Amino acid sequence: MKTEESTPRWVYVFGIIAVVLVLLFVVLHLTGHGLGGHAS
Amino acid sequence: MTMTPRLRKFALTAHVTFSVGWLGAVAGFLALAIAGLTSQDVQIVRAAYLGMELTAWFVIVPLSLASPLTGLVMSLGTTWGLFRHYWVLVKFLMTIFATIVLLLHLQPIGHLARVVAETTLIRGELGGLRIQLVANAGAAVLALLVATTLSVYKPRGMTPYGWRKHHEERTVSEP
Repeated sequence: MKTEESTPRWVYVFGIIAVVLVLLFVVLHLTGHGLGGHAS
Repeated sequence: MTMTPRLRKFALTAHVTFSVGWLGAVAGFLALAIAGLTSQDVQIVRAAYLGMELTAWFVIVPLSLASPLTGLVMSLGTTWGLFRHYWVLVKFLMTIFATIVLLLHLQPIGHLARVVAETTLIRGELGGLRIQLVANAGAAVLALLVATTLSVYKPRGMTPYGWRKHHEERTVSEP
């Protein structure tokens, strides 16, 4: 049941997007595709 | 620990100035990154990457530190609080993340600037790094636009901590 005190939907949407972006960032760096790799 | 109206206005002016300035500086950084990646003119490529290093160190880094700092002062010095409303917390975490990513990427930006200062970049050289700079600057512009939108719209939603504080304050104020 949705009450006034329940977490709004936009917070879940933001949370999911944030987790995906952070994972993407970490994976890119771990695989050497990030900026630190100086890939040419 | 609520600020006086005069101090609150001063802090708000500083926070808006630093935050919007940060967005504008990153937009300029994105334009330089695109010019550095796509231009055929060697002088433009050189100027773009040298300009990016200067912009990053002397404009973007100070603004990226001043914006969350003044945001912290604003949240803790007003009734909004830092952990009471989701929009304040989300915005703060976003700006902290953007600042950390920026600080991590200063070294590769400096590397590119040193390369163009000493040699001439041939087409496609350091291509991965140059594309990443465009992608990251684009992502940063998007993130800062989202942060600005959150500040203006202030979407509803209090955290469990915010509700607890809200109930506590109501209990205290009721006779």
